[in-house]
This record gives sequence, structure tokens and C-alpha cells, in this order.
Amino acid sequence: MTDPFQIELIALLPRLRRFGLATCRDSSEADDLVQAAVEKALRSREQWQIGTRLDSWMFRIMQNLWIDQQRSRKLRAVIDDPEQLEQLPEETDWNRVIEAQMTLDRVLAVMRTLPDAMRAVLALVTIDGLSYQDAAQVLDVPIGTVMSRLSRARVELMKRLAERPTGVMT
Amino acid sequence: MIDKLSGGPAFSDEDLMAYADNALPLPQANAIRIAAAADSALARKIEMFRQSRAALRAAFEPVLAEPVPDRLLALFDRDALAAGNVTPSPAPSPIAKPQRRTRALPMALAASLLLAVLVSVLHRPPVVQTSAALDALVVAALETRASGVPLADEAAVPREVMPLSTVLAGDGRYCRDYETTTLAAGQTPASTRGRACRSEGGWVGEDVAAVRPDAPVDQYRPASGGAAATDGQRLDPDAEAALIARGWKR
Repeated sequence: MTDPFQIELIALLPRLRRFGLATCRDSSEADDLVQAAVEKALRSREQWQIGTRLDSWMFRIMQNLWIDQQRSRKLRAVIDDPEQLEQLPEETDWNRVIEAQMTLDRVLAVMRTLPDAMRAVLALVTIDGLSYQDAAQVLDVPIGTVMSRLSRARVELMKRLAERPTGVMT
Repeated sequence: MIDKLSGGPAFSDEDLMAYADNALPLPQANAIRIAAAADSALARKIEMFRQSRAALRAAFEPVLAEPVPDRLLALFDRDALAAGNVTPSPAPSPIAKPQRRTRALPMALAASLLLAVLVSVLHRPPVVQTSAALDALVVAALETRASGVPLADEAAVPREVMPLSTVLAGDGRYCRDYETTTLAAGQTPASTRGRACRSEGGWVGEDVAAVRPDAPVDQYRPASGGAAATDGQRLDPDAEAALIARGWKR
């Protein structure tokens, strides 16, 4: 007997990973967050009401887990691990990949200069396409807060993207 | 609140963003549309909000196509994975390389889209389209829209394609003039015109020199009945609608 809850959750994984990447520092941290959220969802699935949106519920779990993590992380220094950079195959067209990588990397780099709360609304509304109202429910803030954060985030993002149009690969 | 310079109503950033996101009720949206038509600063700001969404969505789109890591799939039951049409990938091997390389393609497309978005912040598009290659939005508009009825693409770079007229050309093909409108940031909407003809395989772009960019738009509308840049028999709206309904088959 297949499990509809699991099937629906599996279908959501790409969007959850995208949301994670938009809010976390790197892709491995993002997948850690998705993994923790999926584990939590499978454990406490009776808390999800059939007929309500599973995506909003999952985003909310991820957001809450992430906020908890940020609180504990602030107590210790963060060290970037260069070995976690994704390896690319040798016969790749480098120009194209560098261009492509820089695009996502640059947007991510600029996003990561924004406050956490702004990244969350960008990820939910602008990237994933949730309505302001749905995002407000996920984040547990009034819709007016979502809109003011989001508009400021988008102004800042575009300003900073336009400032450094070439970007720098390190 | 009243704008001191124009004397018209001032709109908050949140209002303009909601307008750009198609999230405003119609009366407010109309008020902003009218105000933006006369105020390039307002139009620029709306365009900035549109661009921000297009840029972000394009940049993150490739993430959706990435294979889900096995450690996430391992959390699920095997039969649920099978029902969801997902199978854990085999261990990394040289055979996996071509599969990974294909991921560069959507990323490259997204990169060029973002580049286009950023470039369009600085430059207005050319007045006349020079390439015969038709993109999906143009094809969809030509295939499904009556003359004078635009098809908008809000999801990516905001654009609108409106067929202007339909003619039965001398060689027996149906040809349509169309207009593509983009709102280049900070400028009034910029339009390009083109012509495409329907052959067995679909729509093919024609030499755009045949379409005069300086001709008034009205000249292209079927209601005017005027001879636009056409060298064939102009179709009336009923004939056009019938063609659209049967997929441009004779």
C-alpha cells in the first residue's frame, strides 16, 4: 500500500531544496535543512491536516527549524569548508558553466547580504510564487509585514545586483 | 497622499510591487496603470519589481531540475518512491557525467535570461526585430490569439505579444503581423514588430524589413481595414477566428 503523504512529499522535494538554498548559506546546509524538515514531517505527520496545503506546512517546518539553528549557531564561529564546493566534470564547457554558476552564485551572494527575514519572503513569494497571504501564514507575521519586507528586499536586491554587474569568482 | 510634483495620487512601494505581481484588486490596478502611463519614474519602479521577480526565478529555476540527493530519498519508503516515479541514482561513476553535464544547459539558459534582464535595465530593445527565430510566446500568440488580442508573459521577462493582422499571402500561406511589447526599465513601453507565416511545421519568421516600424499601430488593426504592410488578402475577424479554432488548417 503506497502512502499518499509520502508521495506528495517526494514531489515537493525540489521546491523544498530551492527554498532551502535561498535561505541557507550553501547547498549542503540547505539539504541538511530539507532532511531535518522531512524527518520531522514524517515523524509528526498526524499534525498535518488532510486538505490543507502540504507545501506551506513544509515551508513552515523548514523556517522554524532554520530559526532554531540560527539561534544556536550564533554561539559558535562559522567556518566555511572549501571541500564542500560542488565538483564539476572535467569535459565541461567552462565558459558556459562559469557564466551559469556566476548567475546563481551572484544572485545567492547578493541575497545573502540581505537580512534573514528578507531572504525568507523573497524565497517564498518571489521565487516559489506563494501569495502574500500564504507567506504571511508560513512566517506567522501579518500580511502587511510580508509586503513591506518584500518590497524593501526587492529594491535592495536589484540595487546590489546592478552595482556589480560582472561579479567576482573566487 | 498626493504627489507634490504631479498632483496625482502617490503610490507606496508595496502598492507598486503588488501591481507588478498582479496581486492588486482591479480598481487599484487600473489607477496605477493609468498613472504609470504618464509617469516614467513610476513605470520604472514597477518594472524594477517585475525584473526582480524574473531575475530571481530564472536564477533559481535550475535548482528544481537537479537530482534530489540520495540521502533525502533514503528517508522514504521504496514503494512511495516508485509511485512518485523517483529512483535513487546509482553510485557516482564516469557514466554519470553526461547526465550532470546536461544540468549546465538549463543553468546557461537561466544565465542568459538573467543577463537579458539586467541588460534591459540599461538599454531599450531595438525597434525592429532582426532575427527570424520565433520564441515560444510569439508562437503561442500567433497560434491562439485573434488580431488585437495580446498574450502576456508575466512569469519570465514581462512581455506581451499581440497579433495585428492576418493575411492570406500570394503563396497560399497565412501570415500574421505582430507586435511584441516589453517595458524596458525606466522607459515607456518599447515595441517591436514582426511577421510570421504558418507552414506545415508551424510559424516561421519572415523578413521583418517588410513591416514598417514607423507605421501607426492602428494601421495594423483589423478594425481599420487599411492596407497595412501586407501583400495578400486580409482576413476578417470571423475567418481568423475559424482558422485559430481549427489550428490554422485549411
